[in-house]
Amino acid sequence: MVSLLSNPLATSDQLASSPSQSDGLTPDLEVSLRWAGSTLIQSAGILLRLPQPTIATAIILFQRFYLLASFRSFPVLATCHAALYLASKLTETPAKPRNIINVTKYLLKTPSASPVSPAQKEAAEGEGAYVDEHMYLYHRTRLLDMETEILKALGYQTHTGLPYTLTINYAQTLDCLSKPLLLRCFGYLTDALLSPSMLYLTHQPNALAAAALYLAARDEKVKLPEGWWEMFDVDREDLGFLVAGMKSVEEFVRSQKEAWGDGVPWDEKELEDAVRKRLHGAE
Amino acid sequence: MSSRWTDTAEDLAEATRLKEEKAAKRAAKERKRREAAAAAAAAAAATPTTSPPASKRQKTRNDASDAIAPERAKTKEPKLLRFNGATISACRHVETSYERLNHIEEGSYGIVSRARDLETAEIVALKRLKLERETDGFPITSLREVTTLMASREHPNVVRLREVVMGDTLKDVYIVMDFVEHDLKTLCEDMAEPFLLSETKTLLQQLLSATAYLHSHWILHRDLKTSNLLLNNRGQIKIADFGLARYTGDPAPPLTQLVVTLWYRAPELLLGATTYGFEIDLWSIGCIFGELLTRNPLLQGKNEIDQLSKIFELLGVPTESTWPGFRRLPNAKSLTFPKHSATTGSLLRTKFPLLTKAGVDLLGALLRLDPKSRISADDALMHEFFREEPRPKAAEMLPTFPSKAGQEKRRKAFSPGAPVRGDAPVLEGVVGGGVFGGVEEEAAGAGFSLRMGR
Ligand SMILES: Nc1ncnc2c1ncn2[C@@H]1O[C@H](COP(=O)(O)OP(=O)(O)O)[C@@H](O)[C@H]1O
Ligand SMILES: [Mg+2]
Repeated sequence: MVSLLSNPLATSDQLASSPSQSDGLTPDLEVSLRWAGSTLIQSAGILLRLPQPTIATAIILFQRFYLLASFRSFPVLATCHAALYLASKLTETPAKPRNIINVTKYLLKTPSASPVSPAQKEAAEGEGAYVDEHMYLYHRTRLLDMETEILKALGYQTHTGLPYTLTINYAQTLDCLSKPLLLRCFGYLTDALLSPSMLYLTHQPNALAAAALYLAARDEKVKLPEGWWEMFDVDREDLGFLVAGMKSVEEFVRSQKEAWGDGVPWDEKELEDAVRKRLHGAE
Repeated sequence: MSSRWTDTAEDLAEATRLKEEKAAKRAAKERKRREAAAAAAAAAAATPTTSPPASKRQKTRNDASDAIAPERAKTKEPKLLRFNGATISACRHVETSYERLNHIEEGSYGIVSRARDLETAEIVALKRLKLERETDGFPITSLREVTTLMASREHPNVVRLREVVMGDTLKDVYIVMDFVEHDLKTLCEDMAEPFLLSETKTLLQQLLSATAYLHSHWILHRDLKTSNLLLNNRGQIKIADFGLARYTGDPAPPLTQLVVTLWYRAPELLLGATTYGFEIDLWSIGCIFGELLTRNPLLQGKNEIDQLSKIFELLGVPTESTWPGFRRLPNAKSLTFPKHSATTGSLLRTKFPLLTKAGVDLLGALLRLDPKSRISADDALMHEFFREEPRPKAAEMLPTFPSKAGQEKRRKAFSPGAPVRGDAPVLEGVVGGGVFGGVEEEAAGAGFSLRMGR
């Protein structure tokens, strides 16, 4: 599926003004909710056997949405559900709301199934990792509403060009295509989805692809010609920024996991508690 | 010639008022345009050829601290940039952005209406999406309509999507397009004379050019027909109604066969092919070509079987050599073909006695039964037909069709609608029962009959 459209990017104003923060969230809470939501989507997508382009699309839609909306007004879990559902339709690999809801429930209830698992205590309390019919209908209604809320917030502009296949083209052009190299590239590109700098909202796919290739080539000790990124319309400054951003994701994720051993505040009540706590802490 | 969009005295008065209003707004618009141009330049700079302002901001933010940058918005995003792929911005509200003038499809539909942009006074078309009965959220078909339309909106012969707006509820969604004065179906019905050959060439060329563009972007339209082709007063065709369009790939994914309005539906679809490609759009274009020449739909079947028999009547019954493997198509098994071989030849020559040899050749190439040997949009554009005399007329020289005030409702000729859609989420690859499922029916054509049944 080729498209000449470039991705809509966040403006500097949008990056500077966060609706969540205007709504009383501290910056660290916002960063963490973004990370947790993106990670939940990635893990759920894998369990749902959705292809990575679908998962990446969902994460990008999720992040674009919270560029324009507040985590306090639109609870994170329903947005994760809806982003997955919408992305699955957009990429012609439709997933069922029931499966999406069951999978996130499973992920949030199962200790160490993923970095997003919250308190182990709940699992210990014997709550099953299934969703009863009542809860299912509740989540489903919210999912469907959130789907349109996302479309509305994005002005139905859902185009999400991805860098994955571009890296293949670039590596081919540079005559360095190999499986280990490609796997590393894809690893960096998937990591980059979790970056607190929202790399996919600030850069076009060609720059992301070049940065991933740069890092992968370095890891694999592949020599590339001087200034090769210019062939792909990427300038040095952007490349440097993205390379730094991609490299720091691992450390960022480690710090988030450490900070949120008990799980991030997924539900509205937990979030309100967290907001209150921070408010008092600051005073 | 009449246009049903400006057919009342009120509308005329409205048009006059508008003209004045427009003059007044021209200065404002000019300013807007300059702003937009500047912003577009900035947006172009935001592609990675140079450093994007967004990432710059991000950089400083990253380097310093997580604190919110103090400087605030100086300029609003210019509205004209809405869909340029440059910004992420929310839907506007239909009521505060547009004033609805009248329904375009006189009551029968009520879903496409003419409206005025309150900011610029431009006239637009609003198409309300049918979402009330949806139970699975925003329908995948509507998502495809918006995404494919958005991806092709830059082509001069595709109706330009302006934005998507919403009403008060989440089920109230409108596609906003440039308003286009006529559609080809109505024009063909109302015209005293058919288009001249030179004019037909221009229209066909534009249609092929847009279709080639769609296909090169992996978009199948799947509902090309005269009522979905709009024509403005500058002689430009605009392909509209992407309600059945979707992206395809190589190899093509399994696709539903419930596409394309019957009269424009390719034989492989009628025979139940489980995979199909861009060729189906070219078949439709062949039908449209024929219709432009005579002002009448070329193949007016009463049902699927009748449609097939009309097709074979005009173009001959396929044989293993003209369409290798067609007998293995799901619905071909239940077809009974006549024994006489005289019916395998094409009657196009006789049907279009005034058309040149090249013209008949192109028409035949578009209406090739075997999709594999059907001409592509790119090749059709290169066809001799467009180079021989009379040459395609310049679009601006095409006749315009002035509107008569007070013109009453047009009498509507019967024509079948597009296949069901939006009623249920279309599960690609699943064909409900099959078009020929269980029917025992006979359709008589000239000189042969088709017998359907299990
Ligand atoms: N942009 C437009 N400008 C003017 N008329 C339009 C426009 N779009 C659609 N129409 C009119 O409305 C009719 C229905 O629109 P269409 O998009 O084909 O919807 P449907 O899916 O209901 O067929 C068209 O046949 C045409 O007459
Ligand atoms: Mg239509």
